[in-house]
Amino acid sequence: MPERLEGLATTTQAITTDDRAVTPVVEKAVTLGIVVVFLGVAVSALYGGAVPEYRQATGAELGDRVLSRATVGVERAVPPPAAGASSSYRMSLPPTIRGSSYRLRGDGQSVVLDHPSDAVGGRAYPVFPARVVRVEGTVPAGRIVVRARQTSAGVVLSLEEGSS
Amino acid sequence: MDDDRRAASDWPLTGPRRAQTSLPALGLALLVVAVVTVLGLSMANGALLTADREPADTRTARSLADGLVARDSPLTDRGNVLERSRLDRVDASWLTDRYPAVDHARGVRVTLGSTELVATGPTTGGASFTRLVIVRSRETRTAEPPLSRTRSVTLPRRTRRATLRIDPPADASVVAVTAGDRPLLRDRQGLDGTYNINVSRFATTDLRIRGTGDLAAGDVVVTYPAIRTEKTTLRVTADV
Repeated sequence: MPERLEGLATTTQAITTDDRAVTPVVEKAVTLGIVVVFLGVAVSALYGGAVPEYRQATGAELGDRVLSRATVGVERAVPPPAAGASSSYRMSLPPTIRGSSYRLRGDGQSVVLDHPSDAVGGRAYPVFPARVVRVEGTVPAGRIVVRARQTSAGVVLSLEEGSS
Repeated sequence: MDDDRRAASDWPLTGPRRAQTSLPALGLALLVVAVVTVLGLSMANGALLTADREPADTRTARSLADGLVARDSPLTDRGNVLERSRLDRVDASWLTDRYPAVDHARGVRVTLGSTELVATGPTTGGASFTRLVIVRSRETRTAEPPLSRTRSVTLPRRTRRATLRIDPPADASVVAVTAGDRPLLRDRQGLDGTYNINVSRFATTDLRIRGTGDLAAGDVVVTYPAIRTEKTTLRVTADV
């Protein structure tokens, strides 16, 4: 009996005063815990801040480019100055921006891109000769046709859906 | 090995230290991952910034440049030929009224050669497009040849018509007017009055006046539009 108690005392002393490392199981568990915490922090930081910001920026840039291309197309659709001349100009726009579809609208002297997200979209003013009166029409994204027709007031451009 | 066993009462300074040699390595690895992530983000940011092509600026400047020099521009009669008389009315308010794109842009600047025609606002960071143009100016010139010595007037190129006012005194008469050898006006009784003639615009025209008697300067007055053309560049800068 006294040897056992003595042994117990030395064991306790051994546990509380030695410098040995923890067992590998504990070591792996601690490592796993640290890595999981780090990943959690990193992923939440990225997806909470950086990733949505980049998605918004690229969506806005793409929206600007699509609007510019569409505006150039509307400008190109103006027929030459001859009485009774009409023309049509076809172009193909990307079907979605940032995963959502959008619409292109002719609003008098300007062309508007309507997109569900606020950051994407905008209004552009084409450069027209004096004989063009207005741009009108609303089309969904995809293949569109800009048709020009003569009216008594001048040339009217209308945006229409194009077929393939 | 002897100082491995220290008194328990000396904790935490000297108490049990569970050294774990793999944990610093883990910390270093996580630091490397974090640094690489930050580097990647900054590269992505840089790429996004350089990918901003400012399509609105480019489109507005190019369309405006093409629109001003086109055949149906308010400043031209022919493509790429600007009329000097119409350029005189180009100013900021005219450009803004005529083109809504200019009205809704932050700044547009139009420069002809080295002269600035219009500046509607700041154009730092905008896009520029240049077009080669010809500026055509017309002025009406009058020539009164001193008929005592020279009886000819040379009309420059690009002049296709002229007006002659012939008013000879009583004792003289103008019998014929020729362009080189080609007769334009002829009257044996004597020309008197105002006549319009057409000449070739591809070469200079040598008008020769044939008459009898004592003709003096002022008896024949030739009025013609002289056209001067000048090659220059039109530069449009737009910041939307």
